Amino acid sequence: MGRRWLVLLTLMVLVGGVSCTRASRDRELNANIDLIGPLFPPPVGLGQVVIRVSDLNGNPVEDAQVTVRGDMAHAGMVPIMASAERVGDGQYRAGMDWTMAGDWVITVEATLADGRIASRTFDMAVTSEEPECNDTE
Amino acid sequence: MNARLMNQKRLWSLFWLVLALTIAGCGAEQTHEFAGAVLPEATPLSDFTLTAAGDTPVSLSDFRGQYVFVYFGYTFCPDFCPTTLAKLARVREGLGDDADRMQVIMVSVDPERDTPEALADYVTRFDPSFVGLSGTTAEIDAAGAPFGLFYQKNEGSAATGYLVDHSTRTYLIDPAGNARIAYPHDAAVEDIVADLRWLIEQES
Repeated sequence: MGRRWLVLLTLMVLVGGVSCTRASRDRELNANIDLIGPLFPPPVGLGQVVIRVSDLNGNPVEDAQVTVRGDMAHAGMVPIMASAERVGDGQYRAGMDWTMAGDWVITVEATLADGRIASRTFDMAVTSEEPECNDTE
Repeated sequence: MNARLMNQKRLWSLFWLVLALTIAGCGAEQTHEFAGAVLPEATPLSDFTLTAAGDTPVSLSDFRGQYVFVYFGYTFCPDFCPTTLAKLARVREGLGDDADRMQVIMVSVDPERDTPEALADYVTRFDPSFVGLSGTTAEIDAAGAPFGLFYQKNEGSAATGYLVDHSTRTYLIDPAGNARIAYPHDAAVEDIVADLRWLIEQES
């Protein structure tokens, strides 16, 4: 009897712990791809995505071809795509035109100098439009 | 038999205690409603160093221990920059004795015209404690990368010269250097003060 309760309690703690943890993402391990920004959900409109590509030892990769694709989480919406420019220290920056508020899936693909490809996806929530400076309020 | 019943009672008590702690643990972060977008977990910002008046290098990490508001703007800005800085000055006033717990940094998105001296002159008109930072375009871009900073020159008039379109958000960095909150331009002074007071209270 006591053992059954202990098992139940253990399960409760494990389930509680898992539910508080964010899910990790799969990736192809040819290189590491990390999102530098935006950390906060960007508003609809022009914005930027900055990512960092590093080798499996953590050294910056400077000679990758990096593309960024944004797809809305629900089907039927036109994806947005951009090539990223290198900005140094393994970082690449892509201009994005967030066309709609909602949940987006960002797929970053880095083609390394030897032709291998690394990719990673990130979830990104885009918020409703905010005024830019110089707009009239 | 009595001992077995007692045992069961204890186990039930333990069960409810674990359940309550699990629920409380998951919901603990939601006890205050912030006036801006909050990151779900502490996210350390990479440090940046830009230039203040007198060619003084100033790093974000110089302000560890304070709540730092970072705003990207420029001194020729006709609308949101002055209203945002005026609002942040009122937030500082609203903190009363805790005013020194916050620091405002305006990073220029117009380094061509905003010399560190011009920036210092501009931001200190709103509050003497405010700091204005400038740098090369690459340095400013690096500082803005975690925020997805976007800005671009735009045509103005003969009177204003060119204008610079840029985001109107203000970002709050906590005393440990974590990005915490992105405030929209219309966040109210009293709500931001309430956020800061809540965060300061959580420290003790």
